Amino acid sequence: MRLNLGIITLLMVLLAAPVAAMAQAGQTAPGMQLAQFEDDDIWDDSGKLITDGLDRQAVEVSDPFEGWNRFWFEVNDALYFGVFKPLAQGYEFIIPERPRGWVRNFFDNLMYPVRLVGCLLQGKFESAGMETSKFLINSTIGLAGFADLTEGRKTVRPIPTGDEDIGQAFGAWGMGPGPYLVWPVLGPSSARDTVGKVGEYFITPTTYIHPWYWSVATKSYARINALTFEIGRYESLMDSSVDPYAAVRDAYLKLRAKKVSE
Amino acid sequence: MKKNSHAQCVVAALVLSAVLLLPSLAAADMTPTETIKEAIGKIISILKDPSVNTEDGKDRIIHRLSDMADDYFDFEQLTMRAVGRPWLKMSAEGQKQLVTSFRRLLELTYLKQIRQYHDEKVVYKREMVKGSKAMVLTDIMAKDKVFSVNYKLVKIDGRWYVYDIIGEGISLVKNYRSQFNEILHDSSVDELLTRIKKRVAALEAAEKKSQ
Repeated sequence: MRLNLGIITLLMVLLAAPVAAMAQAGQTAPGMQLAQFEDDDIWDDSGKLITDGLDRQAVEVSDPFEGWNRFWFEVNDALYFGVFKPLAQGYEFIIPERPRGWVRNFFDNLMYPVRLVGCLLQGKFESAGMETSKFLINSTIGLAGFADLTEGRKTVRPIPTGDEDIGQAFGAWGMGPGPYLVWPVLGPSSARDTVGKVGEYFITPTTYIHPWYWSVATKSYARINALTFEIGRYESLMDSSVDPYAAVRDAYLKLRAKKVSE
Repeated sequence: MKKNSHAQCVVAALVLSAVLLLPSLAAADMTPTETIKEAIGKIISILKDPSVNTEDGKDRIIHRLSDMADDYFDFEQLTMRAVGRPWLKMSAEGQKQLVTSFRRLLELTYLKQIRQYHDEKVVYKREMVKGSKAMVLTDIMAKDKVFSVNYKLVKIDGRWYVYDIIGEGISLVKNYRSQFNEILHDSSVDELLTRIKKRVAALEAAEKKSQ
């Protein structure tokens, strides 16, 4: 009997908990109604059911260094339109698309250590394995990576792509992005992704080219070459926005959040 | 014989009324996914129409897409959500002006981008409906990449209207909300309207120059 009573009490407590929670939710209902335009969404942007207020708060942007960030955003914007874009366009004019594609493949292939570490840190062993076989095939019969022989090939079983980096791995461990940061020349980042980038610096093969200025030159060349495939993207974002800084910040953080969730 | 033709008349009338009623019934009963499918189908047919696929047909494409947009988009819902809470304090006239200008901005930027569409395959992954809200998850299969595009819809008078598009995790409404918030935080709704109008004017000037 005593045991029974215990069970009944336990049951009552268990049953009461959700009711109490509901009552609490009811208290905030008027506030919720006022904010209906902001958060009457039932699903978040990836289609996940929003279950509590925490899901909504998570989207708040942390930008304590907005002054610094806005300053470098303007500088980078001027650099893009004044230096990098004309450079990329000149280069694009001289070199046809196919060789530029080979160069892109070559440098993409060279970034294999970053992807591998990113995969391994998240325990994505299948993706790590796939990245490794891709690297081996492309580096040998793919002529040092100039040809991407594995592009568009389907695996027997679907294996998630190995498009990972260290910042994403930190995110997968549950770390938030931290404050948003804009770096000179390098562009948008976050505290978490900055730490990731520092780590990646040491496992990027082009870092070890000697002397240092050849290393910088190589990385710049790779970037300009890649840029020729992306011209127009930044421009259309600029065209459509009334506060370009906020538009880029939102786009960066959302894209990273999506990559982390994958 | 007479009786037979009478019966034929009745059947014809029935068929006719059914055919006439069908489109409106279909529209009322369309699921969110069907609504998106229909919209994309119409966009493709406009883009492929040879009569507008000429150099001077550019404007006509934009016009036709813009006319079509109201059947599938709810720009008021979209603007309201992009503005957020300050929307409640705006006058009806101010709200209307903002919807008009914002719509024009989206037209000038997004309709231009739609024209780069190359018949990529769309995979409809999932549809979720709850009350008057729905979400449709899709993937666009490009040449060597897959892009996720999700739509949020709201049911108004029995029809589904899109009020947000989320491409690769970036919500159109939320991206604009973060921009509008910055402006509204430092200044007023009037300033927001001026900024949008300025952007529209700059884009229209650029458009004229390129022609």
